[in-house]
Formats: sequence, C-alpha cells, structure tokens
Amino acid sequence: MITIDRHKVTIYHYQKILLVSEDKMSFDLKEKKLTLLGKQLHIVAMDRNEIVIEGQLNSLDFIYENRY
Amino acid sequence: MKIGTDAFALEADLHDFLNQVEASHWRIYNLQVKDKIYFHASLIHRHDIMRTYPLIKLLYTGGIIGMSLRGFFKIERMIAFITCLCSWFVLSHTIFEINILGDSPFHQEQITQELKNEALPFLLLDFEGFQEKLVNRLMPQFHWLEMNLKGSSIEIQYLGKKAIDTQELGFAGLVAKKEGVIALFDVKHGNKEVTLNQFVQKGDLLISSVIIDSMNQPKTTYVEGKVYAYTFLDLEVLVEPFSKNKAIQFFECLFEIRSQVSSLLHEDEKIVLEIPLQFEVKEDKIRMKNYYVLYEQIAVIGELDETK
Repeated sequence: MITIDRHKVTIYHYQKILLVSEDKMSFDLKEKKLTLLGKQLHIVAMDRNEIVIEGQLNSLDFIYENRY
Repeated sequence: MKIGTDAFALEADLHDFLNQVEASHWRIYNLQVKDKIYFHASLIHRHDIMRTYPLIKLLYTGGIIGMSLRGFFKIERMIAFITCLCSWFVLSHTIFEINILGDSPFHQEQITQELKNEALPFLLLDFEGFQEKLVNRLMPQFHWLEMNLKGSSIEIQYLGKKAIDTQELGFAGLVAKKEGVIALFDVKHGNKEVTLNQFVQKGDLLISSVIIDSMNQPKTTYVEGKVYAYTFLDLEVLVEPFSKNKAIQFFECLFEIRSQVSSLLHEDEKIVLEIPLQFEVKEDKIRMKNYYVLYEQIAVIGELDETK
C-alpha cells in the first residue's frame, strides 16, 4: 500500500530498497518495482514494514515483473 | 514525544545502511544524509546498532528518557526527589489515627490503656509484630480482637468477654441478707419458704432444697434463684457546701447521697421511694439524712445445708 500526502509518501510492506538518491528512489515491492522521481527526496523514517519519504515528488512508476 | 531515542552519526554507504536497517528490523527516524548519515533510533536498538557499527557515534539521547536524564542531572532536583521519597516513606509508616470499634466502654478503655503502655513507635515499621504483641496481651479479656492497618490509621475491632456465671449448683438454702418485704421470686430450683409481701428478717430461709412430693415425702433438690424484696435504708451525708444558695446546697447533698445509694445497687435493682428526713448546715458543712425504700435482691446462699 502506498499513501501520498503532499510532499510525503509512505510505502508499506516493501521488500527491499533498491536505490536511494536525492532525485530517484526505487523499491522492490511484491511482484512489482516502484520508482519515485523527484527532487530533494529523503527518507525521514523507516522500519521493517514501512518507509516514509519526503521531498518534491514528480512521478511514480510501477513496473510489473511477471506480466503475461 | 517518543519515549526515548538516540541520535547517531554514521559514516557508511546509505544504500547498505538502509538495507541493514530493513534486515535488522530497526526503526529509524529523521534520516539525513550530509557528510555523514544522521538518524535517530529507538533506545531498544542501541546495543544492536553499536554492535553492527562499532565506529558509529552516539550524539545524544532524546525523548522522554533523555529529558528525564538531563532534567535529573541537577543536584537540587536529585535532593528534591530523594526528599520526596523519604517523606513518602515516613508518612506511609506513621500512624495518625487509631479507631477502636466495639460496644463496651470498659474494653475500649482497656485497649486505650494498653496502647498507652505499649507506646506506639513513631515509625511503625513492623506492624505485624506490634499487632501480635498487643493481641496476645489483650486476648484473655476478649472473645475476638482484630487490628487492621488502613493507610495511616489503625482500626481495632473487638468483642469483649462478658462475665459468665460459673456458680455451681448446691443444696444450701437461700437466706435473706437483710430485712425486707418480699416483692418477687425468680427461682430456678428449690422450694419457696416465704410468700409475697411477707416481711422477712436477716437470716430467714427464703428458698430451701426440700420439696414435699405428692406422696408427702421430702425430696431434696438444687437451690438456685433470686428473691427481690423492698428493703429500707437510712443514709446520711456530710458535704462541703459548694454554694451559699440553699437550693443548690440541697441538690449538692441530694446528688451525693444518691450517688452513695446507687453504688449499693446492682443490675435490676432500683430506688422505689426517697424521703428527705433532715437537711441542715452544721459547722460550715451541710448534712442530709434520707430514708430510702429499695428494690433489691436479698437472697444469698446460706451456710446451712439441709441435706446434711
């Protein structure tokens, strides 16, 4: 599940952090990959199941790995 | 406000660090990446984090625990805290009130006296010991005695022993201890030898142990009972005058003389008639003489045992 609240994005039940930078973040979710593009992106809080990201979000892409 | 968080500074690759956080199930906040990785983590993860990254720098502790530690690190606050604990200890071990609950003023007085003798300590540290000591001392006079500590007060509840008539039955007759006119019989065993309204002298047999049965044969029986009679008494008192007023002097004498009469009477006995005979001032003292008719129990065990 993902919630977007102005400059804050919360991602629940992520599997793995694939990439972290100020303009791009990528996460492995179950059966899909999530990519956030923006500016001054940074992680404000995280634990095993949840990650909170703040910054100026420009786009959000899902890439499904097992598509038929 | 969080309960307790540590602020750390770490020199490491961000990506590796985040994956380590995820793998170790840590919870981190306020992640900032500058020259180093700055973040906050819960106190419960401190040991794990510092073991995983031995070179990590612990900056400070925040949250409620951090605030408390910083707040108490002042000598006057430590003194206030210790004083507070001491006050609590002293007040919680000090007895401010003792309630004695029961129906007998006599037994209540006994308990009060025993408490005075025992000298309740200022700090009652060993209530159980004090309770045991007091209860053991008082128990012979009580059927039941219980002490409870309720906050700073002790509640004592009791049930006093009443005098038990342990008189053994005998065959000796009951005789009159003084002269009088028989008013009432309360006989459990024995044979009445006098009748109601009969005038009896001191030593007259009132109740005997010999009963004549239907075959006109004498049978012996136990003797037990009470015989009430109207008795007569002349009493005189001489007291210091309390006032010059004659009416007050009269009542002063009257109270004194009644007090003396009352001391002669027992349960179920009473004054039937009171006649003032004389009242005069004599040598700076006042004198009163009264005549009383009393309702009294006059039967006592005689020395004569008729069965012998």
